[in-house]
Amino acid sequence: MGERLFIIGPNGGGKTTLLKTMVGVLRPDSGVVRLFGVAVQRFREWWRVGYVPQNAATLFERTPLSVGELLRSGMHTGKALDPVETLSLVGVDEPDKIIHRRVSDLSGGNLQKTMLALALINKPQLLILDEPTVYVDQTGVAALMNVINRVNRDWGVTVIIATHDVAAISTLASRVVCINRTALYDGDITHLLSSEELCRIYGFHVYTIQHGHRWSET
Amino acid sequence: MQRALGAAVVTGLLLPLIGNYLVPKRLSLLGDASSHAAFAVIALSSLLGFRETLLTYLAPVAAIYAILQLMRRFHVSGDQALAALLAVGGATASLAISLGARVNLNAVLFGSLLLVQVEDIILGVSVAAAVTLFVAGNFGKTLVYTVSEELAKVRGVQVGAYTFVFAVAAGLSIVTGIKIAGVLLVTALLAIPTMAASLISNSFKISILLSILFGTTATTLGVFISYYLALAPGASSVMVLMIFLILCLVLRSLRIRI
Repeated sequence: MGERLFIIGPNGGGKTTLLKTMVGVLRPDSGVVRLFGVAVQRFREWWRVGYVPQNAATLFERTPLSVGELLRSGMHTGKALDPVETLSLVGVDEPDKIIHRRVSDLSGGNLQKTMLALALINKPQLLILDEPTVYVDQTGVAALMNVINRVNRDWGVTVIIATHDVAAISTLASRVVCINRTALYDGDITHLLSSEELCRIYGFHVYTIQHGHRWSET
Repeated sequence: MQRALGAAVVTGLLLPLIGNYLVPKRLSLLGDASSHAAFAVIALSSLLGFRETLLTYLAPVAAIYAILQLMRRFHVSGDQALAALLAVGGATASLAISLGARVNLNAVLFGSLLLVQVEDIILGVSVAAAVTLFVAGNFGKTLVYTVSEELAKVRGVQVGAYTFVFAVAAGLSIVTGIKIAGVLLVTALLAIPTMAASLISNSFKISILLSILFGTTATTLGVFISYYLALAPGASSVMVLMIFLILCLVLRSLRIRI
């Protein structure tokens, strides 16, 4: 609970597959996945889980729907926050205007934030993000990490992030798992950030320069 | 004429409504496959001499089930699965006709006001009521289901059950549509209203309402044109839909959204 777990590894190494198996979208060949102690196939309390998939933009190309409709579709009765408030929580400017806009009209940054708002709207206890930094620039990444840090701290949300962007994890991670088809490392971040480990994970020689950067908090 | 108008209103509401859920999932092809399956059954029952009603309604549902299985279990792409079923349906109908089935091809392929039976209207209204209630009661969930089945699963939506509901509804409504629009054009009623509405809608709700408006206007006008000008109702409805589509394309290029 309250852990900040980063799953890192190269593309094709199985990070997305792992996340999808966690939420029951994919079925494992063997073993059982349990969410909050319940086998995922029988799990019903989905308001406790927030999931942000990769490549959300492609989902909305053909379907006309407004931001408000999207957020309301994810709201579980009695558990949900106000959509406009959630939008400003994730850093959307002018949320009362954005809420009426069609999702496919949003900028990449606003779409990403909206998907995060959708995942957070029921105040979940578990937040799962698949490659959240891919289409986002540096300031965007900093802002995203700030939001995640805040909900982790204020709500006690357990956060699981899959990313191949090793730089993003920085000092935010409390635990790191590295996978490249098989699990290669599971521990805290300080031991990971040495060249040899990254070598094995990515399969080629990588030099890291540790500069002890902390994301500034707002 | 009254029966035809009744069928027109029901079809013009039902097919576009379902179309809103099928088109984003690239399943609008289900309309074509279903209509050809129904065509086969119509021809066969004429050949073998029995009244087709029940079977004609089951055939499209079976065809849809077959396509979805081909797509999901055997990973056949939608257009390939469609090609297979169109071929089977069309070929069966053709064989039946060569063997002596008496089918008014013009009426079946392009629709005829005379084909509409009371049962069609009753079934159409029932399916329309059921689908409308389902969608209204589960609007958010059906919306998520349409956008992404993955997101729907994490939302707690029973994806399998929803697919079943929409597939059956689509299959049943196709048959009423065939009477009005004909085997070859009924898919137009499924896909074009949604296509046009999506161009100018800012929300899903508006898109649904607009598509129903386009659909019912097209089918109703189609019936009148057919009645007074002795033209096929299917073609007349499609012409009206085309006008709406062009109108929406123009509005879209002017960046007008509702």
